Amino acid sequence: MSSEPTKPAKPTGHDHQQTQLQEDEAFIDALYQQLPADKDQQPSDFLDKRIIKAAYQAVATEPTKINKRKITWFHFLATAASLTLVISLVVQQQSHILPPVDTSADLVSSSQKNKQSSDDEMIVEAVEEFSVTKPMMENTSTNDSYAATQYDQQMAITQPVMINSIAPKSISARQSMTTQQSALASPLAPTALTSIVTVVKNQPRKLEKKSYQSTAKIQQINQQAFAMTKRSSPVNAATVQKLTLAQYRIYREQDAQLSAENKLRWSLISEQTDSYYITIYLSDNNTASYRLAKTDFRLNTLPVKTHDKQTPNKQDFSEIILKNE
Amino acid sequence: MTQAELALKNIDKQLVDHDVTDEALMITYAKGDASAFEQLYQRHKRVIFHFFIKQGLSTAIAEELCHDTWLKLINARKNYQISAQFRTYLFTIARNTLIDHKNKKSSQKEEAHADLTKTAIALKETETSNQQRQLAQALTANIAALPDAQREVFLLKQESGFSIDQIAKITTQHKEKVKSSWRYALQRLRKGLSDYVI
Repeated sequence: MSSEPTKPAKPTGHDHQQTQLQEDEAFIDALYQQLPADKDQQPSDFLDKRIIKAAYQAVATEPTKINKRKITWFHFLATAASLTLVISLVVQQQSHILPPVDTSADLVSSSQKNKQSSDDEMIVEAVEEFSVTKPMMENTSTNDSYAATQYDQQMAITQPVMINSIAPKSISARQSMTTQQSALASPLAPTALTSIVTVVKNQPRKLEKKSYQSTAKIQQINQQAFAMTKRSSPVNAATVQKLTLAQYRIYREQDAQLSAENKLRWSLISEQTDSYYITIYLSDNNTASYRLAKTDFRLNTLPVKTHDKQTPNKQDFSEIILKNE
Repeated sequence: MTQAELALKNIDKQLVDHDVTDEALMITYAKGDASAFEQLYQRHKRVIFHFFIKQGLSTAIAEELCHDTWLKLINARKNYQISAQFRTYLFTIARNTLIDHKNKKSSQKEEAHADLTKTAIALKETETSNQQRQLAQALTANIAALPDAQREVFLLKQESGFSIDQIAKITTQHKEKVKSSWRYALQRLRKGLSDYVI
């Protein structure tokens, strides 16, 4: 049995590189062994001290855990204080935006003490706003017509009571008084009035809104009425002088010379059996009161519309006619 | 306490200190014990200084870069993780410091080399033979003549004793590229120093 001798493996490029590398490494190692040991080569003492000192300073100036806790505690305190401030500011702002009901009612009462007509408007609007029982009764059935009639009667009785009681002052403050007065005024009214008061209690927001609208209207009316009352001074029958024919003619001549915008106006204050009491509004914003004998003069009232309603007779401007002319 | 007891205690302390690893010392220093840093510094100050000296820099510049390197380590003590080998971490900082220096002083490179050949390898003539002094100067000159990548790999492996894998980690290069640089550096040095073969 013959066996072929194994051929030695042919060296590859990789093996050659490895051999070369090992030889180079051995050469360099041999060179380094010939070199003297360079133990004396080291950084200076001055550099050593600088570096060690820097290392100690870095550790010494490091913030401790206690400081971190303090910072955290102050952080939470500052956050809580900021939140409290913001919330209080918001609450304060909202209180300015929506004043309480009593305040708005006081505004109304202070401006409405002498204006019964404006009170009437406000109360009528309030009654219309909160009277929810009437539509329900109308929609129920024909058999309920009697109930609807009863409701109208109750409202007719209730409204005057409310005009006297609610309007001049705060509505909320007067609710109990309204109930008592209505109960005394009419035995038919208590049920309807109680329902109205209940609705007012349950819907303060609506009432506030309505109060603001009424307040605006009332203030407008008051301004006009105040101007009227300012111009018309109270008349004392004893001191008012009689308008003579000569004075009357002088006024008429002056009036004829004035332009249409500045014409003299005459207002009837009161009427007696034998005379009229008038006020003349002069062009320089002054007034003069006179008594006109019915034997000499006759008055034609000129209805003037204010606020879509005719004002009372004494507020009307009058046309003076001389009977003997 | 007698002098014998004190001496025994110092021996014990040295043994304990020797057993503590670099990584443990660094963690201890990061927690606030500055004495741990002193031990670390004593262990590695020389290799770091040599790393810069062998780069062809003057003693003054090498000390300046040593100072910067250790300061960076001090400032980065909180970021150190025990998973990284301390020597690798330290030499990575040293290498980055060197790169920054080269970027700043690239125009003064030749001047520094000339200075280096005179000062960095200032062997004491009284203690070394003339042949050894010539060999040292020739080695330093040949190392300085290597390309930057090859010189860096050669010094890390031959002078600092890092493995190819560690050098690849320090220089953030591929392992094969590090091997290649090592091989070419050896070939160049062997060719330049062939006259000094004993």
